Amino acid sequence: MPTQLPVLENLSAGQMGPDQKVIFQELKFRHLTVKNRLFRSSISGTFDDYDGHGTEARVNWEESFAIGGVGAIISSFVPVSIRGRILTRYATIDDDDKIPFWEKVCQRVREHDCEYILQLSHSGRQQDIGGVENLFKPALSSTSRKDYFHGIICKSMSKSEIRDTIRDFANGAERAQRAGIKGVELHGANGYLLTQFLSSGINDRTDEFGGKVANRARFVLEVVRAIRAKVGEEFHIQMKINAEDHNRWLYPWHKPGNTLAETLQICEILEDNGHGVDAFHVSSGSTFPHPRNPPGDIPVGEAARWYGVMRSSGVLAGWNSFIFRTWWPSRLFRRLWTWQRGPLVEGINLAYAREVKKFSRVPVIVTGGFQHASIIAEAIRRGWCDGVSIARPLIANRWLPKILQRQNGPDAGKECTYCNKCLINDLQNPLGCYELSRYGGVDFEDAYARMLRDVNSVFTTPVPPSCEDLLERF
Amino acid sequence: MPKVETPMSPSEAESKRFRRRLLVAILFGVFLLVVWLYWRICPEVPERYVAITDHFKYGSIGADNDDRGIPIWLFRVLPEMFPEHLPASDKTGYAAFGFLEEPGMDRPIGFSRRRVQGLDLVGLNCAVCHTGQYRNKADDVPTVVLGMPANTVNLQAFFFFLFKCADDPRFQTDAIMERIRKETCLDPYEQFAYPIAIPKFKEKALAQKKLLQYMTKIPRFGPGRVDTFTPYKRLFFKDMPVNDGDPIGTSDFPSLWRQRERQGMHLHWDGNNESVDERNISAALGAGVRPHPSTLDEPSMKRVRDWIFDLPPPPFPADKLDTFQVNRGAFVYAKHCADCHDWKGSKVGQVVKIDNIGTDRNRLASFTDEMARHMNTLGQGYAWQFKHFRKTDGYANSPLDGIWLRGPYLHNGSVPTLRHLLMPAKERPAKFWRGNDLYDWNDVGFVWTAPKSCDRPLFEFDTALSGNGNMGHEYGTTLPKEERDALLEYLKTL
Repeated sequence: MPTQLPVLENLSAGQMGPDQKVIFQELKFRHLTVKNRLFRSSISGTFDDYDGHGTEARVNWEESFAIGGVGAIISSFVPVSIRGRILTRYATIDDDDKIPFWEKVCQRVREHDCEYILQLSHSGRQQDIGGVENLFKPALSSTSRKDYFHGIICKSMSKSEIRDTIRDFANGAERAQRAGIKGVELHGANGYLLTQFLSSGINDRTDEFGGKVANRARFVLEVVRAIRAKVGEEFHIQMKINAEDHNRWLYPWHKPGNTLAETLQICEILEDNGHGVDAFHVSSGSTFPHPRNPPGDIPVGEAARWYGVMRSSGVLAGWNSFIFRTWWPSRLFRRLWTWQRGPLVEGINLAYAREVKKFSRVPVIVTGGFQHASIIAEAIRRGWCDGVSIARPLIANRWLPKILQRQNGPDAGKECTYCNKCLINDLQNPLGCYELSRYGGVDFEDAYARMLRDVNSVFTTPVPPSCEDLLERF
Repeated sequence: MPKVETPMSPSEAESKRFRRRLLVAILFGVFLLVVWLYWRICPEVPERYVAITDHFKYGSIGADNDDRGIPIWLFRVLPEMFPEHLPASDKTGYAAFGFLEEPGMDRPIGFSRRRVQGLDLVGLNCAVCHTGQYRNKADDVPTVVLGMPANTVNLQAFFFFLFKCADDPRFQTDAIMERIRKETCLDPYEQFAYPIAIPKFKEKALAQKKLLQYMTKIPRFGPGRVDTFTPYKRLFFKDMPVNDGDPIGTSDFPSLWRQRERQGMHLHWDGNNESVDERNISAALGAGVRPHPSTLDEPSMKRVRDWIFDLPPPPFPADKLDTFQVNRGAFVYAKHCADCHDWKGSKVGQVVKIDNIGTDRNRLASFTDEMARHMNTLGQGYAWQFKHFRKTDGYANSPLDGIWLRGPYLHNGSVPTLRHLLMPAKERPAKFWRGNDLYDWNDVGFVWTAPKSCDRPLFEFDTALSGNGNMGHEYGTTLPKEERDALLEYLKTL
């Protein structure tokens, strides 16, 4: 049993500043209430069994954020089928035998007054490591054109495959409901299957699932309706969506993808006259990774070390690997990356969220590097969003909500640097913060040992943070 | 058990195809690169012009070679980087040397452009010494006349400018590259080649400065003049020393009109060659064409030659002629001048002994028997090899076509106007100002009395200096004033 230390208590509203009062107020969706406006955004980590069964590490991982004080956790990327994997060793929800695991995760998280939203996902052609099951199968997509970043082979889905996939999503939602989870999120952003149907930059179908906006939204709408048919009107469904695709970030001759105006049309369609989705989760960028998502740097040094595992997956992965490993192409790529991202990181999607919020009738959550109370509170206060989702700053500071209750953000030197080393390490190593400069230490060995302790902490049961922990870590 | 073959996964199969395509693309890319490099570097391509007048002004004769050519962007930034080495003038850039510039062109008239070893080089052509201009009033736009002696161009000052730039401590490759990059976007090959070409230019310019050091010890050329043959000794005939006290060969730029009728005449001021082609090519060598191995652009030279064969001088403005006086003058001309200077004259194109003509001997003396022998060694192995150079004992009688635009007069340009040429030598100005383009309609020549033109200082020409003597050719000086005036009026019409 871990040593029990004095718990760092939540502050009451009276003890909080004006920004904190805004952030730590309830958020009511139609069928779900969250205790504050901070959502743990979807981050996965290859912690699970190969066959899609979750492990204790996943439970620890999710619980640690609940202990940290977020209002709700949007789960890891949970494939609705093995064909929809991004990486192996992600827990799936492709079968009823996965229900007990998700039930356990949900219970453990809820013990800390935190809601759990399961992200139903399908990689489509963005299948980074599909595993042996998918080795001889091209990835399913709205197009037969391979993904332009990694070069993953895909095929345009047949009508029966579309029907099967819609059914998989609906079944996944029903299993989540049976596991006691109150809501699901459909991952329709960042280049995964739902984006591949929604995006005018990717979807090149000529049937009723391609072409004009209504046709491109048809697949997702049918998924939403199939889920509603399975789980009823009382179940929370939210949609993660690209406000704009920025599909030309790597090759300027590609189609630009969805504009904000198109996205607003899609949002209206997916609200389905009040029977569709209950919230939107705004992001941007039609691939993953993308300079805008997760916004920050591209750690080419880390990529040179760990990206090689992709070489057997994508036709262009070898080329990318060469770029990451070679001095001047990697510098050039990094400059392109940061140029395409632009100067803004924290709140990069806020302007988009404001527009979505203006035109939609359901709450809006927005993602994009949030780690300062003043920025989050101001966005909520101005009505640009109802809540924010956070991933990397929470990996860096697992107890960020408790920090934000007490101050504007993490202490200098302890903030998330947006280096994205966590993103690249996820391909082969436990998900965690790999930014050595954040760990202090007297020398490299000391700092590295601290970092290893932190990233391996996922394999032990998390305990509530003590005042001493806070002092040590922050 | 039957052996089961494991097929390639779609990704592996596509990767294999991708690698094959990549290999083909790389090979194709290498092929294209080789073709591009060949196209970019190997052929020597001059800028070509459809119109013969443009070809004359800007076309290449082969002086823009790897030995004497200046990389175009270096040429363009030098006046901006080293303005203190330019002659004092209201004009900026190369116009300060009196070079004529036209809008829309990247270089003055008389400068050609040719791609050599992948770099565009600038060199001189015929027009630099044979295109001039005149104006009626100070605020008039000058009229440019092709084939006219370049009355405003100070070629020596231009060369000295290049030498000073090359010798300046600020002439650094990095600084020049930075300046060039502000002016233009160099292509990848130029980015590579310019940092090599810039120090190479410096090295060659300093070597030439050393070779032509003797020029600093002789009277300045001033605008409209050049010493054609002495530089040959330093550049081509290393066994011919140039000593202090050697005769000064500086003489006026001649005109290029009506060359067909000059065939067979004794050409050059001292009549040292009868071949128009040899005369043309020897001038091209002076402009920078390399004789061995030859960089002479023969087709281009032939095109120029064919054109100047029949190029007429512009007529004197009819509204400024007194026809009565012209008619009177024609008679005087026929009586006193035609035998030596008229196309049908018995002595036209012939050499008059120096003792008879009495003009400054320096130019004649500077071209020696030995020099003639050396000249006839140039071009060995080429169709254009010189054969006709010879030493003479005087100066040649030149036809007077376009004489109104050929001032100042005499071979060394020592007499400012035709009116002064018809005066006894002692009455001719001992000093005058050269380089003006403002026309003196009364005395026939360029205004010579003020030290400044409308837009630049002029060059003080001192006839007391060696090679500048204004004596001799006192023909017609004893005629009555009325006859001289009439003759002058008639000469305008030639």
